[in-house]
Amino acid sequence: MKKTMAILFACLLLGGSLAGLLLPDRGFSPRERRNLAKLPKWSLNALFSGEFTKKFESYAQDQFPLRDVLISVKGTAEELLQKKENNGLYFGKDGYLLDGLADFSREKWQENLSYIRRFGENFHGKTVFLPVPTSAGAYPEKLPAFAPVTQQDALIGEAEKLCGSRVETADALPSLREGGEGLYFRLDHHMTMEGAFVLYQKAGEALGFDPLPRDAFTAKTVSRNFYGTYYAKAGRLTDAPDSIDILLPREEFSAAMTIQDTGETIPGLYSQKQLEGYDPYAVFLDGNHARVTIRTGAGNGRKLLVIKDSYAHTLVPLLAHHYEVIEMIDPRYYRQDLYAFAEEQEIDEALLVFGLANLDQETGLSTLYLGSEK
Amino acid sequence: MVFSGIPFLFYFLPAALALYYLVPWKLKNLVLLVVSLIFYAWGEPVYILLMLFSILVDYTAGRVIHRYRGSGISKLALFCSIAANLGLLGFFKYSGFIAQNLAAVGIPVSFASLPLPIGISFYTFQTMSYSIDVYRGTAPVQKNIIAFGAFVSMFPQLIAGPIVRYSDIAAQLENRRITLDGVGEGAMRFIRGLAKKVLLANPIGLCWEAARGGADSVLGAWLGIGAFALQIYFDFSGYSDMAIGLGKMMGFDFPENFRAPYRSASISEFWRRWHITLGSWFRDYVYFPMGGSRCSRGRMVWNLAVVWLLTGLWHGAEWNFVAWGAYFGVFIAMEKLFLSGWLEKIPGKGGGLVRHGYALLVVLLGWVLFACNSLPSAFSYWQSLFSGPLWSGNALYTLSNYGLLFLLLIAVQLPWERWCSGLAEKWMKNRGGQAALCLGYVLLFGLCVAYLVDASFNPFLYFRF
Repeated sequence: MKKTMAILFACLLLGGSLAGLLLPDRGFSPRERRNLAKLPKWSLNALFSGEFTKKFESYAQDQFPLRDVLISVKGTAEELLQKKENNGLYFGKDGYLLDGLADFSREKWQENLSYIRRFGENFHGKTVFLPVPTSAGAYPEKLPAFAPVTQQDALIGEAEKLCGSRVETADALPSLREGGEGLYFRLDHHMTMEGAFVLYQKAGEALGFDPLPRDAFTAKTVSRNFYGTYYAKAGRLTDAPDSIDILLPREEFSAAMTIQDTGETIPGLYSQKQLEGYDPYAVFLDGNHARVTIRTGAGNGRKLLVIKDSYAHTLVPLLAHHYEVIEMIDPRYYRQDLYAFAEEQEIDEALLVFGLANLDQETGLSTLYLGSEK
Repeated sequence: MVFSGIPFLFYFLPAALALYYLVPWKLKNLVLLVVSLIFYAWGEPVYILLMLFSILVDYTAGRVIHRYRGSGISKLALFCSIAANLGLLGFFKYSGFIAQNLAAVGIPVSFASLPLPIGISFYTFQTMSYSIDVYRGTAPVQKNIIAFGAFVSMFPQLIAGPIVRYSDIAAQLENRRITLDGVGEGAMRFIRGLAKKVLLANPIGLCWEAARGGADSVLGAWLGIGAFALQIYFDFSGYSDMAIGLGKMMGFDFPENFRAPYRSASISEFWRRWHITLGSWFRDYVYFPMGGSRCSRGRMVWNLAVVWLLTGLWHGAEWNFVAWGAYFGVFIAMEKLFLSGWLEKIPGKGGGLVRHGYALLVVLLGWVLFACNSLPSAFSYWQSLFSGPLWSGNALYTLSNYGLLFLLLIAVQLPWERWCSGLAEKWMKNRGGQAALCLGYVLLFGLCVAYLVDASFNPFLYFRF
């Protein structure tokens, strides 16, 4: 048996190293949605400073054969060990992975709120702020017992206070808590379009339009194979993929979006080609772009400026029914004077949609400062 | 480089072992020396000069001691060797500490704050033991500098022990056997050690990380320090297992470093089971030469005080480590003077329970001193163990999150070898049993790799010593 073990161990080591050497390095990881580490450049300088060895370690870790499977093996092992969390996400009930925002950074959050407040004070029209809770906030009953979380209703309450009187903060959390199943993806940080429908009703109250009833739309499943970002971080072998549904209006409705970054105009509000890619969530409004212009057949002359992160992508196709033009800006990529832009485009309603999970990080909101403030 | 990493497991180790096995016997020590230097240079490209210096000094000292045996020159060479090693250790490990304390009493000294060279506390102790042993005549002199260099730099035990003395492996450096059986045994030992580190120590370490800033309840505080006790044991003994396993794969027998320390029934016993090679080093090179316990009571207490303050200081250049050493010194002195006598008098099973409970409690409370980075934070942690709310939501969450892992970590320390010795032998004879065991090892290794590939938390605890 010792002899067998000697041979097996040799096979394991050689197998791992040969596979690592012979298999081509992967550039982009669809699962983790990031570029994997590349073989670092060799130089004596880098070696002596220790930089080479550090980078080589990330390289070896990132390019290890079967990395994606091994990550799921670890997640599964953690669950079997009755661990309640893995890599910062809770194993929730009903197959949900949940982000309780336990390490929420208050400092960065308050800084971001101060930018929103300043935007409200400088923007000439009406400003509505719609923070999007995480699934852990909407479904507290799915969390493990005693799991430490940051209370999201308290955060939204804080936002109401700190954003000032010029900004109306819309609190969707109570409605989401009563909204039943299916408002969030189990394995991704985003809401489903069903969840966005709840936000849509809230936005209607705040912005002053009458939302269409739910039965004006029918759900159509466009993907049954969606492995989201939560899965990437903490997924298990047993996780079944999410489906992506879009809510299509029963009545004829025309809309088109222009991706200003590239100049491309896509008919409709969904990008079918993204369904084939690594991130099928990008089917909504073609994913992240600096500026997207949506023109619709609403015919009412209303215009809306949406400053947002990707949480808004399921919401905006619903809002489109009430605005002839929606200018959608992602401040992480857009670096121009927004106040001047809004005046030029004659927009006097602004909606800010950000995930709470993003608001304790760099959102790009600080660039709203760049505007010509009055 | 650390053992528990992809670069070591799948780049360094296969290449080093292949080279080592392929070259003829004459060259094996040279290969061992070269790959060990590469191993060390990977993490410490500059400090490799220190190790080369240490090798050179002690090699020369050994030869001079041998050549001029019985004369004053021999004594001088020994003195030089000890001074050089303690000098290195003092300069790189303790100069900041000394300067800080001098500054605190009003004597400002400037010093260069340098990072601690990895493994310096281990290899200086190993080379010192060589010079002393040659002087005493208990170890043969090594005339081949390559063999000597291979002994000092040998990568399996270079950075976290066990502290292998020259006399332990002198014969093996000249002549050792590599068998397939030995390689297999070494591989199993290595995988067990890797699993201890990656699957047990690292995960429970997260539990301590959550508590270290201050637990909000008595339950949370005890879970935290319990987690630390388990983390440091499985981490350290896992490293030793990996070292011993790698040694076996290359034909060396290293001394054991841990023997189920938490099963001890006294503090003296704990230190005969915990980091054995360090305890015996201090015993043989400090405590016994000072007279040990075969002298007056007062002298013995003094000897103990010196040994335990040094032991504490060896673990890190901070007052909390000194206090930690002193703390054990006090208990060991009390045990030698009267406490063991008292405890032994308690009869029956209850007596055993009391003795084990006493030892475990003292060790656990001691870990607070070790784990908290300063004395004030250690005191406030002690306070939280005995006062404040009994439990909290956080503590209950910790219990539910880590409960099974705690049980597993405790369960693997139980005396299974006593309870199922017959069973294991039966399995080893049976082909199906052997296959199952092999498969178990392969899966265990695979699981370790999965954890390493995913790892964001893989701390190296021995940077202070």
